[in-house]
Amino acid sequence: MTLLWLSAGSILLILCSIVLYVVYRGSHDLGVEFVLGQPENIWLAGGMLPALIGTLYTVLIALLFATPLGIGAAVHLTQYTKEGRTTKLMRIGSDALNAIPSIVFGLFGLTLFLYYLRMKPSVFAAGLTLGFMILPTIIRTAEVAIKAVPWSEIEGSYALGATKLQTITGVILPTALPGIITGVILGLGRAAGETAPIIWLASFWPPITPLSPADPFNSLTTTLYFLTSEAQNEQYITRAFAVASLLLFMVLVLNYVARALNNRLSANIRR
Amino acid sequence: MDQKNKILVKDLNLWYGDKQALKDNNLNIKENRVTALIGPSGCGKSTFIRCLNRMNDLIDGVKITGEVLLDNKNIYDKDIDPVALRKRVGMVFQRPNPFPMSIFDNVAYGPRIHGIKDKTELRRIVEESLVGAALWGEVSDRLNTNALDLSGGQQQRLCIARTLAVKPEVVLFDEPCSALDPIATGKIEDLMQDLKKKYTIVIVTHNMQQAARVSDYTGFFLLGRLLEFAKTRDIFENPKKKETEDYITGRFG
Repeated sequence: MTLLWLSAGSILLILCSIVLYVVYRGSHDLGVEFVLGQPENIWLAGGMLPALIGTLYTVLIALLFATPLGIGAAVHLTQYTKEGRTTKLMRIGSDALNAIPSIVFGLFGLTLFLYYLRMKPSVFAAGLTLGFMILPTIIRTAEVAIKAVPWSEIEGSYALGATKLQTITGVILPTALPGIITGVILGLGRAAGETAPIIWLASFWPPITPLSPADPFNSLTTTLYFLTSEAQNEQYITRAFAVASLLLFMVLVLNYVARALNNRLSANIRR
Repeated sequence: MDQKNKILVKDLNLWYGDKQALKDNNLNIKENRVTALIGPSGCGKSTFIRCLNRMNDLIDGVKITGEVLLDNKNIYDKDIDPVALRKRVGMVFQRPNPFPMSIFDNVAYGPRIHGIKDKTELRRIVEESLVGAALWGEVSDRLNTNALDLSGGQQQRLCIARTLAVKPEVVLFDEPCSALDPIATGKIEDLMQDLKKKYTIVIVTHNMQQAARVSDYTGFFLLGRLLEFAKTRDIFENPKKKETEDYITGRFG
């Protein structure tokens, strides 16, 4: 019992000390101006708005790409194939994809988009790369959520003369929605916090506010990397910690919003 | 005055993989009558009723031979679409299975998937179906609340309303009261007497008193065979087979 308390306590302690340390080190620069202002002097003064927009934009593209594809794959795996060699292969594939280090996704994105498709580094290329990365998470959680839909409900739909597709869109997906959203949240948190997959696709300097998906961009994570790797004095490090605080805060807020949404939806679908 | 045959079952056999669950069953189901199927657990009565709207098609490894004629047309013919068939032959299940959505949306689900979009029309169908299922008075002021907030008995009547909303000709009840208390059961039994004026009803039940109370005809199943079939009164007062007599007098079951 004491041991359990000790391990639980130490987790909290580690978490708190990381968060507090990061926020403390960055506190000097933090403020509304830092979040919503334009940067000056190579990110060293002013705000981080372009990087914030870049991060949100790439994550949005990643979700727009991976959510429908992931749900589609999960529906296919659960509803349109019999358990067998094909499903096993698809599952191994999706698990393997999940286990690939994020830097390898970065390398893949670089090769595919920049070398083969001759695209420029852009929000679109980075968003799709992040989309590849979070796809298995979304597939797996959606699959579990769909499998948890009670057979009696599905049967009820068929008994009213519904087709398979009507049953999927009318009963299965709405009932599985809270679970699916959980998967999307997990993917979202991961996509927002990753640096490696987009390190060759983002620009570090100058600050750019992307408008179209074809525009180049900065992200919070790559700017953080830039500030630390180029650090010439204490000011760079303070800025880096401030960016880290913003990143932490943003992921926290996104998680909270998504969780609240999830709770509201599952309140309608109590079991 | 003999009633028209709605469903004629001829030499119906069913296998789950290698295991035969129904053996050579023949049965007439009369229009606008309640036909009850009784028998001990595992006798095949639920499997049988699920052949009448092809719900067994959804299960892997089921093989069916024989004919089920609905208005003289075999529902297992190649040109029959099971989806269209289930619109004509509705089903209420053992456990209430409302969808996790509002009362209104539950009842409107069927009409909507069959293409009715007009709001006034939907509202009319929902009211008519809830009245038909004797639930309107209890829920008319809260159609937008979640169906899962209703009691078990109300949920089951909601499932009946949901079935009526697609305007079926036959309604199959698969042990509809086995999860309900006696009062809720009584309401559903009363309802069946109303429903048979418009629909043909088949009910599977393990409750013999229920079969005696609600049905006009009764069939007794044992080990996958329809052993005896007659007017309900004849079955209960003057069973021809010894096994039927043993079962209804409670000597086994």
